[in-house]
Amino acid sequence: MKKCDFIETEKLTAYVDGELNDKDMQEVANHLKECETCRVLVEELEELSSNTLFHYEQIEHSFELPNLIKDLNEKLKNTENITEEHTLYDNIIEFPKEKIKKEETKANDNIFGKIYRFAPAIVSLAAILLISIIISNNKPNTTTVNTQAKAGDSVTIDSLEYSKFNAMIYKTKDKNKTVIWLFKENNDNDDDGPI
Amino acid sequence: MRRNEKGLVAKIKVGDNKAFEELVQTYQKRIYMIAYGILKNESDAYDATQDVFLKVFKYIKNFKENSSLYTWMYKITRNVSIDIYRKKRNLSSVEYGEQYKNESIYTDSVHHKVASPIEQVQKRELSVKMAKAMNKLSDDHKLMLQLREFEDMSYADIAEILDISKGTVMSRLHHARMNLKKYLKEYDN
Repeated sequence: MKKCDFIETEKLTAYVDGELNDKDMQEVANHLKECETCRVLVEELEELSSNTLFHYEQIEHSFELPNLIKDLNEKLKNTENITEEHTLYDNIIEFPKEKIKKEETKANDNIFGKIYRFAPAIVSLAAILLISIIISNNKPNTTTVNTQAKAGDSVTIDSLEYSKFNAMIYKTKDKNKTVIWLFKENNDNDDDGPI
Repeated sequence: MRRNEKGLVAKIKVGDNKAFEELVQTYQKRIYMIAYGILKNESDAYDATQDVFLKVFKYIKNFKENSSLYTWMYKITRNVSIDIYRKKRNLSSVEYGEQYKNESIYTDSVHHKVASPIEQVQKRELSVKMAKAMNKLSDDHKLMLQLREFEDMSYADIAEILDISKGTVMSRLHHARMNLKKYLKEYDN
């Protein structure tokens, strides 16, 4: 049979499926009145379509899945169990957090708890106070701080002399880092070393 | 989404087990056939079908109902089947449609009741011919025909499911039909 050049064959497929817009549907319908080639093809496509449906219906009727619902119910039960396990597992995972939270709550309920909660701040304050007392009791013998030496161009070294100990302060110029060495006062002048 | 589908989904969402069973009854074969088309193995297709319904049960609350229920379930089926396929890709596969060569499909009682002996023979011949011709089609073409002819899906739905344009759907479907026509002719000759 002669091939039709007037209309794309793909358009005929869409026509059979009713997937063209109104204008194109009308255009194809008009064309089919005049073109036997396309008319035959449309008939073949319609037959193919119906045979394909028949084929799949045959397949559909060829088997049963009698146990599917039963198997699904089994699996769903197992899934519920798994979900419960997951819940338990999740609780275990979250338990430490909850425990800490509970302990925090408990701890906050009494005066010791409040002290415990603010312990880091209290310890820090105490340390600052202690250092201040030590420094005030160990005033330098000389009030001036002199740069005594230079270690190359990159470091400056200062020294401080206290009644109980001496301090050496190293400052790097480039990275602006400070290292402080504290030396215990040594009566023998032989065993200098950092404390 | 169809009205009865909407009701079914709403009931399942509130935990109606009977509605879920109805959903399984309605769609089990269609889901199985899609899974089988990808996996080409009965047991794997069965596992996939179960997984699909378990997922549907679990995630139906997330189903936004913008598309049809089947479109949504098809996407799940495809993903589940591909996952199973990837896990078992080294196992030998069964030829597509091999199970349907079984005599039982041609002695379907429904058709026997309504068909005359001649019609029975004709139908039987057509079944064999179609099965053989379909078997020669590529997976893409088989899927296209299944979605269009059997699932009665629109080009827009197929395009959405397969993430292709409507034009590609039209073209692929046309080629699938042309190839099927060619293979049926080969069988006749």
